[in-house]
Amino acid sequence: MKKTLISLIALAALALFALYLVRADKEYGALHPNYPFKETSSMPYYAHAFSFMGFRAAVADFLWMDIVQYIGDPESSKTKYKELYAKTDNLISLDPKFTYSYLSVSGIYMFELKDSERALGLIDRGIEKNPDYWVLQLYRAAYVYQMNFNVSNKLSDLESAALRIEKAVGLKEHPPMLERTLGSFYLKLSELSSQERKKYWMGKAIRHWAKMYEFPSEELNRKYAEDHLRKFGLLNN
Amino acid sequence: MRASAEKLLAVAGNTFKECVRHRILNVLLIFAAAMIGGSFLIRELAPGAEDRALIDTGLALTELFGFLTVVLSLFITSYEEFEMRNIWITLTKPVSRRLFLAGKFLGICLTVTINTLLMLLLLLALAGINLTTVNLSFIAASLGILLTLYVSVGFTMLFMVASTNLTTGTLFAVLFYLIGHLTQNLKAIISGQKTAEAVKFTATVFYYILPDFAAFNFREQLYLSAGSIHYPLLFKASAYGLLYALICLLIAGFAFSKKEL
Repeated sequence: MKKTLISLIALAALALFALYLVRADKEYGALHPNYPFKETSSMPYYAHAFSFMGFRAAVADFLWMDIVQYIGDPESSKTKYKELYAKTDNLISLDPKFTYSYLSVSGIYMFELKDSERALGLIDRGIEKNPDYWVLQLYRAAYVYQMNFNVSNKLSDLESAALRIEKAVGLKEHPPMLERTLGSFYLKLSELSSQERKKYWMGKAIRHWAKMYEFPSEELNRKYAEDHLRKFGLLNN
Repeated sequence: MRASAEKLLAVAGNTFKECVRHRILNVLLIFAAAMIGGSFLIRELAPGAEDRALIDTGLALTELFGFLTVVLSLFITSYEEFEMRNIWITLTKPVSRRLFLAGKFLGICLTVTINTLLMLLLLLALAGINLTTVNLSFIAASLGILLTLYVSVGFTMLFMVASTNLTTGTLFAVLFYLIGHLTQNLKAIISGQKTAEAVKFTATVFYYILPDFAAFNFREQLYLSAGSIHYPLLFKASAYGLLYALICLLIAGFAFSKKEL
C-alpha cells in the first residue's frame, strides 16, 4: 500500500513536471534565438505540445493542411479569410522553410483580397528566411509589376521587377525559362526608356543574350539568344 | 568470456523469438495501414507540400510506433517472466541476473531495430511510389530515431525492474519518454537570467538525469541542412545515446540483482 502510494505520488510529480516544461517556451526562445522553428502563443495547445516534443516539421505540415481546409471552406471567403493571416503566421513562425505557404497565401492576398501590402509583406518575410529560393524573388517581381506598372506605367516598377528576376536567375536551380523572361524584360525596358537609359538596358540585354548563347542552360535558350543576337545584327554567320 | 558471450546471445535470441512469437511485429501492420492510407489522404489534404508531409508524418509515426514496440515487447516479456514466474526456469541455469538482463536488452533492441528498419523501408517505398525525393539527411533522421528507441529500451527496462508492478513501470516509462522530449526547455530554464540559483542547481541535476531526446532529433534538419549530414554531431549523439542506455542497463542490473522474485 505504502509503495503504491509513493509510486502514485512520483507519477503525479513527473506528469506535473512535464506540463511545467511544456509551458517553458519563452525560455526556449531565448536559448535558441537563431533556431528557425518557433512556436507562437496563438497556436492550438495540442499543436504546441506536439511541436515541443520534437515533431515541429510534422506539426507544420498539419497546420498547412488546416490552412488549406480553411481556404477551401466557402464560409471563410464570406468573412474575407479573417483568420488566414494568423494561421499563416503560426505556420511560418514554426517552420520558416515552408516556402509553398508564402507563395500560395500571398497569392490569395494579392489577387483575391487585393491586399498587396500583406502579399508583399509575406513574400518579403519568405525572402528574408529563404534567400536562396528563386521562386520568391520571381513572385515579388510579378506582384510589383501587377501592382504598379499596369496602373501607373512607372518605369521604376518595371526596373525593380527586372532586378528581382536578375536575382532569381543568379540563384541555383532556377528554371531556364526565367533567363528568357529576363532577356524580354531588358528589351522591354530598352524600348520604353529615355535615350540615355535605352543604351544601358540594351547593353544589359546583349550581354545577357551573349552569355545565354555561350553557356546555354538548355538548347531553347541558345536558340532564343541566337535569334535575338541575329535580329540586332550581332551574329552574322 | 566466450561462454558468457554465448549465454548473452542465447538470451538475446530467445527474447527476440519471444517477441516474434507474441506478434509484437504486428505493430507494423497498423503502421503500414496508417501510412498507406495516410499517404493518399496527405495527397488530398496538403497540396503543394505532399512530399514533405509524407516524409515528416512517416518519420513521426516511425518514432511513435517504435516506442510502442519498446513498451509492448518489454511489458509482454516481463509479464511472462515476473508475473508468471517463467524467469525461475532461466535462472536455475548458469545465467547470472545481470547477464540475463543484458541479453534481454540486446534482444529487445534487435526487435526494435528490425521493426524500425521495416517501417523506414515502407516509408521509402511509399516515397518512391509518390516520386518524392529523399536526401541524405533521411539517414541521419533514421539513426536519430533508432538512438531514441535504444535509450527508451534502457529506461523502460529500468522502470519495469525497479517498480512494484509492470503497469507503474510502464507509466513511468511513458512519462520519461514525454519529458525526454522536453529537456531542452529545462536547459533553457537553467540558462535563464531570471532563474534563481537553487532552481538552476535542481534543474541542472534533473537535466543530467533525464534523457535529452532533442540530441537525436535530426528530423528537423531535413529542411535546414540541404541534405548534408553533420557527422561530428551524429557521432556525439550516438555516443551520448549508447552511454545513457548503458548506464540505465547497469542500474537496472543492480536493481534486478536485489529484487525479490
